[in-house]
Amino acid sequence: MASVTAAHTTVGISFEDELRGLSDAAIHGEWARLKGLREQAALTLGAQQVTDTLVVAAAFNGITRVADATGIPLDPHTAAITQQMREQTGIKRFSYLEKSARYDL
Amino acid sequence: MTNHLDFDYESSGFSVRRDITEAHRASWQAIARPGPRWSGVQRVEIARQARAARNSRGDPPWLRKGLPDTEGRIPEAACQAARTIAADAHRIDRDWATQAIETLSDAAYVELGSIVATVAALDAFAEALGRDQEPLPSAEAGTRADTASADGVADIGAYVPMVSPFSGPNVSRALSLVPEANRLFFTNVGAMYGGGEQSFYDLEWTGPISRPQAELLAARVSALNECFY
Repeated sequence: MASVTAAHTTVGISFEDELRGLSDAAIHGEWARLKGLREQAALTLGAQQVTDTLVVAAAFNGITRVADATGIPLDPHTAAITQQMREQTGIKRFSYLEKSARYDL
Repeated sequence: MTNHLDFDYESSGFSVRRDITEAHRASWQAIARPGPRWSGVQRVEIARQARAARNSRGDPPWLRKGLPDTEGRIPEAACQAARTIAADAHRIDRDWATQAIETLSDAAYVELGSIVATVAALDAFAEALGRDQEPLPSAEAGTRADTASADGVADIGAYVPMVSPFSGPNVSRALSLVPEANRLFFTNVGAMYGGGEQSFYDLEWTGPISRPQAELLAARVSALNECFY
């Protein structure tokens, strides 16, 4: 799980490097790099898989906005079973309370 | 009305699943129609402000020049809310949300958020494919008389009430105060994540990439967007 917040940690999911590269370039707006990554990944991952990778990344661009705008909390079960993971991966720093201290909106 | 060639991904050389294309087209048509709280003109203006702000997201808020004037189509509070959710959602905290909701009303805020998130997702996809962003739809005239919000909502500790109890993925109730707003956004999510609208709610996986791969992407994008949820 640490791989989602740490740039260089892997977890053994197939084509992980390609997936991370595509999502990172898309989110960071690195369009020239993304174009190259799309072409390369189409050869290894497959063209349809590349498209669907970008589909999922785009969908979550929307979902994160919904979550942040509505302040939806984790459901109690998820909150309980993920507490240690959230601390280990640093996700805790994204909590709404910590953002209040970090950002002046 | 929306041109039937909108979201013509195939002409760009991309094989996008038909249900995704149809969901995107339906979303554009829905944004153009009068909603429970906002007119069609207002909804399209919300989309326009959200898009402009998101396109400027690389700059800090105080350096974003050239954002379009609303020309009175929507209140200033709605304009600021749309821009913030679109470009600075990671900075939103309870104080900011409370102020926005008190000014707009919770249902109007939810409907606005649904439009902003939909535009963000569809624009992000266009960018990722190297396509131009889809022209915004032409607004339909008029307003609606029905303004009812959902029954069975409760304070679950979020900024707005949500349906409770609820079965299905927790996040899929985030906009449930306004059922139509929830449908607008999550119809797209269902098609874009999981391989079909119902598959998202049923947590079934039928897409070309594997479930672990999709979850890695979801988590990575969320981390890059500094989203706690």
